[in-house]
Amino acid sequence: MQHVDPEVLALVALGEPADDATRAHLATCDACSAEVADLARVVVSARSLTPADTLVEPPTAVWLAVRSELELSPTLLPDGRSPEPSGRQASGTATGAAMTDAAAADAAVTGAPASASASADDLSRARTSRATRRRTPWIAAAAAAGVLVGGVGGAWWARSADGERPAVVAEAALDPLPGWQATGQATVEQEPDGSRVLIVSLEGAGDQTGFHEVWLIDRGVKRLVSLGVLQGSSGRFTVPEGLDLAEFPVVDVSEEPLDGNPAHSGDSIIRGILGA
Amino acid sequence: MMAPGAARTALRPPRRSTLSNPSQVTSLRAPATWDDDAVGRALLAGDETALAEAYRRWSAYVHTLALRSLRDDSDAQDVTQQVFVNAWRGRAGFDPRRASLPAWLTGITRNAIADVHSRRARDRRDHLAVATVAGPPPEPETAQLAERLTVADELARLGEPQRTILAMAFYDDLTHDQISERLDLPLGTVKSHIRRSLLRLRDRLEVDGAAR
Repeated sequence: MQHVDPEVLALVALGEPADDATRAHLATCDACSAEVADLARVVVSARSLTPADTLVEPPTAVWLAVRSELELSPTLLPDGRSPEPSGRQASGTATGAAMTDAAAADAAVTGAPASASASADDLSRARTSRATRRRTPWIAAAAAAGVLVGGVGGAWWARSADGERPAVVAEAALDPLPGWQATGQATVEQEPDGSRVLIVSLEGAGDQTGFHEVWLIDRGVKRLVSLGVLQGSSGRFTVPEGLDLAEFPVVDVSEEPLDGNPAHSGDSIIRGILGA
Repeated sequence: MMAPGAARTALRPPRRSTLSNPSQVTSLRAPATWDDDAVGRALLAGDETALAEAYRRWSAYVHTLALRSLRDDSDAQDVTQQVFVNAWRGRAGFDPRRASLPAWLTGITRNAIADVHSRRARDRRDHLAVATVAGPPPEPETAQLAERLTVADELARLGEPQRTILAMAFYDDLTHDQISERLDLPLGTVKSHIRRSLLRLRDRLEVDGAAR
């Protein structure tokens, strides 16, 4: 018996219309119909998600309590990095990513490149942590990670220390499109006067031949708003007043040739959906 | 569902081969780059970095599950703390052949949540004589909630363009050829991303199911 192409089964599970041959086969083949039922369960779950299903990070204090209750290394942080070489593990210096709280604090002050591998996730963590609790070693480390991503986190940190923290109203991790290895983060802050600023970071885009341009795009990828040129690894862009971010939720950074054509080159490096 | 074991095996892509030496992985690469299985093996081997990494990956999921079920910040934080404390102390009971690490953590979380519910029920009985029970509405069934949050968690982990493609298929009800046209991606690429992403979500649900 010729089974249905597995990719077609996935489309059927999503509710796309099946042709006669596929329907006839599904009516008699237990294996294929079970696969559709299986995948359809995922689809039903995903479609039933509401904003209430957004995951909520626990406050920083919870990790500190776990660490203390289990008497783990006092510098151990859930930051995705290897432990510091002077700690419990003798090895582990090979990555150069190890970072003690003290080193992180130093890096935060001096801007020294203690690590080359700070990720967008660190940046997001920096923001989350800062929102929940301040002046713990973890926060110092996270803030330092933000600095390393491109100065953006450092700017937030400096501002939050003054107690003048702009509200983060939307954010998105920016993931690479095929052919790119880069990562990034987009955050929208609302200033006290109501204006909105999109902060974009870009890491690992390699040598650029033209320039990087930041766009807000609708979900259908039909309409685009250019916010400007991204110089270096991060930048702040004013979101035009009245522009509905729910209508243009896709943040996109493109590689643009110096050809004088103002349209999107079609060569997107990283992309993410605000609030997704 | 009709005994799909054999068919599933045939349709599923082969699992990644396992790395044999967690300590080597630990020393050479930052935990953020480990795959989920490597985190599990390192935890089993008693590497406390693995607990921190498990916390980084799944504490939001654990916390949200507790929060939604218990509807109380403080109880949800206590449960989250307890889950990771129990995971460390009980790590010898983690069997990667039976469940993935997130599935195992889901099981611990559901037990911890159930404990709080029974404690509350006891408290309510104790106070029944003096007060009418007017607590929060009954919690949603934890298993169903776990499934939804698992999907939300895995969706958030999808890279691009998979996340955009799935969002268009799930929420904009676009067909794969419409998605292909709008994203200017080849049809085959879109279809392949859809199938693989659905399988990934399905696998996480399935292994979670095994821990129930």
